[in-house]
Amino acid sequence: MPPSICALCTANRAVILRPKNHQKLCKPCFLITFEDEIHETITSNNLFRRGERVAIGASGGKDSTVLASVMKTLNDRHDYGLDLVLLSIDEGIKGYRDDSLDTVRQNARDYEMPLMILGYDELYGWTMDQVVEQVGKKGNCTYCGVFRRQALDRGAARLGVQHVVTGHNADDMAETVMMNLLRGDLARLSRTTSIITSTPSAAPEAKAATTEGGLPSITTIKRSKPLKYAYEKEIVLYAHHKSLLYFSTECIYSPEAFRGSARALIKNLERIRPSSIVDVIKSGEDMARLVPGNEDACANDCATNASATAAEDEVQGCGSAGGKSSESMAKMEARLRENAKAEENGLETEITSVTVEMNSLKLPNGKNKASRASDSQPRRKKKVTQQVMGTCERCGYLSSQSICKACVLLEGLNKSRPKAEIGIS
Amino acid sequence: MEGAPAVRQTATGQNEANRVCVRCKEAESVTTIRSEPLCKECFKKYIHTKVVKRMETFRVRNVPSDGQRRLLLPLSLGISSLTLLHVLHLHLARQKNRTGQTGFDLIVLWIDLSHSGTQSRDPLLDAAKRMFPQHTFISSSITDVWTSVLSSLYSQDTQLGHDGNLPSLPEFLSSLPSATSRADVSEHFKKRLVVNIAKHNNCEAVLWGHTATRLAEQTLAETAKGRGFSLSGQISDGDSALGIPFYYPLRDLFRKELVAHAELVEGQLCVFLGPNDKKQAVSTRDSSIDALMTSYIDSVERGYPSIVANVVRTAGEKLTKRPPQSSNVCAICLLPYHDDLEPTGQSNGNTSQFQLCYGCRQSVPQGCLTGLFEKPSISDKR
Repeated sequence: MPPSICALCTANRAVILRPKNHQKLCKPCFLITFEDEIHETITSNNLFRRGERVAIGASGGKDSTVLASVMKTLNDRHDYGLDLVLLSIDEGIKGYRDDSLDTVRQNARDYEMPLMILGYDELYGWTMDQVVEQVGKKGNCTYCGVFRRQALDRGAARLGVQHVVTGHNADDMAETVMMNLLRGDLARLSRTTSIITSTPSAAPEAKAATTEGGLPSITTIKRSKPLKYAYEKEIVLYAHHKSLLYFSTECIYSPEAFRGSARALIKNLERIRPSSIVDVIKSGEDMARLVPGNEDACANDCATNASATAAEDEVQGCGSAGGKSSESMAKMEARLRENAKAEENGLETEITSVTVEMNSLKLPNGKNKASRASDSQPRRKKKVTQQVMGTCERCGYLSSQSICKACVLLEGLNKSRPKAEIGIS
Repeated sequence: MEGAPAVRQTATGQNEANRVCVRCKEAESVTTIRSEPLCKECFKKYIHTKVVKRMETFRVRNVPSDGQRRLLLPLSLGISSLTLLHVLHLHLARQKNRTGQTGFDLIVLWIDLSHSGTQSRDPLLDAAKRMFPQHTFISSSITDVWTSVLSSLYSQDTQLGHDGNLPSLPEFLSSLPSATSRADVSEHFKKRLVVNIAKHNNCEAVLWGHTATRLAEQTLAETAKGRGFSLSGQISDGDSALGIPFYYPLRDLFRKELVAHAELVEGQLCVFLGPNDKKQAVSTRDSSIDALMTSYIDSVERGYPSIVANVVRTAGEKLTKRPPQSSNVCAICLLPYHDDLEPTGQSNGNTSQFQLCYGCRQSVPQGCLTGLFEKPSISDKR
């Protein structure tokens, strides 16, 4: 059999079978196509503006390493005029983060980008190892996820950056769509399919708000995912062919059942029909428009309209947002059963399975109280509760509750710590 | 049926012997349904109640004065549609007994899925007809839908040649690139044919035999095939995206419950238990997305049945059935769709000169249609 020729340049020998569409490509054509598609995602969604300072959330893993490399390449090639910095969060997990942070340091040198590493201990007074010691291995992903979301924003604020890009890839997005469908969580499904979350334009007043030092406040940090449509397999191939250095390990604390189940499903789907990863994302975007209360918001351009989203509910590579989402499949099964029984016996069903909550981002203009009051009213089964965005009373972070999730979790953790050292004098 | 096991291992794996039914507190239980041991009679009642509850729109008191309501029941001769027919048959008999009339008439449709064109006879169909002689049975062939599909395609592109050398349905299906595409298109053709026949026979609605299990499979499969836009319009009760109301009276029951019902209560239904009602393992490259979802939902349902039921509730009842603003109707599946672009930067060349929804564009590449229609009449032979 004669060697295959690259389908694009028709000159070189094809060495790569593109996972996305099984196109046969040579190495240079693959690299350029991969970069072009991300450029296309960036420009068609107007992700950046000239002169913007952008932090790349860097974990040292393949996604963020490729993201950093591609961002640098595209910024130079297409003259985006972006000021790129690397931002790493140290969760404080021995044997997991130590080594990957070395990788990030190497990346920072290679790409000549400034790097900031921020630890959970600095931010919250707890490392993840300490949290696990406290709460056990089960459910600690909730803490990690909630803390990490805020940590990136806090780090960005410290760097004077208003925009953080993260390495969520197409597989992650598809997984999240399936996972939220399995969980029956349409509100989160609609939020997490957006490419941009928590835009400054959604909170124009807050835009001007800065902290005392003239740095942007954490409520104005914008998040986006330039790799939203990039396949995990292609990211690995890109890293390989560009000889990028990345650190590959799974978090040593276990992933959730729901996500694990969805992940396996997505991998099987990809094997049967490669386009199904993008197709699932497309379905998720379309369903987001059909979530009650969302129809108008997304009538024009759902991909760039982030008014119904908030950084509070970012899609996450591992443990997802707190509360209900960290519930195990068995727990959810038990809860649903009880609800069904209650319904059959004609009991009240207001705390049923899934209350669809809309997370409509509104100005923190004092209406919060009213909405909270109505929250405490008994809910009828299908009622859609509008969430109103405010800020946390304690830390000022974006939150629909008076106290944000991180502060609630911290309160729980801190309760068990002795207030004063006990010693013998 | 003779030989059916008297005591069944249920989903929970418990042995049912010697436990008293929780409902009547008298008879010995024969099975455990949603963690409740039930006797034969109470199990039967359970199945009937779940179905009849979904049929409230069609009560006797709602019958219009000027005539009887007609409902179409597509019968695949699998255990689900057969159980639906069986339960509704008894329901109608009860209505007749109580009030002297029925809330609706059933038209039972059987579709010949062989592509032979000549109506093949299914022995199971004869068995069903013998079992339910009171109802009108009609038959159709899947090849009948092809004319309608062709005319949709022609109406969109008059450039197509009409030289009498029309491609046949099997030719079209075999030109599709994968098992997923074939299964997907066949499924939508079947639905399309059912809708055509329902309208043609003045039926007010279609009663589908889909269980919660099947609806969950369909929810995930349609999501994976890029048809999230039409989910609620396909699987919720009431107005559907296809212009005639759909009802899924078995939506609160799992497939395994119907299998148990046939085995333990209604022995005569056991002949309709097919290989599909047993477990099947799928995970090869050649299998279809629909088959993958069947095995996936099967595995989830074994441990977490309520999660499966919740998926159906979420997709069917919580999403709005917003009619798309544009009036595009897909030439293949007839679903109305928004004419929006591929996800940005993701154009994979699956654009089409025909009006196809996103899902059908994935299943039916442009080449499959043009290739068939532009079949040269003289030059290169096939």
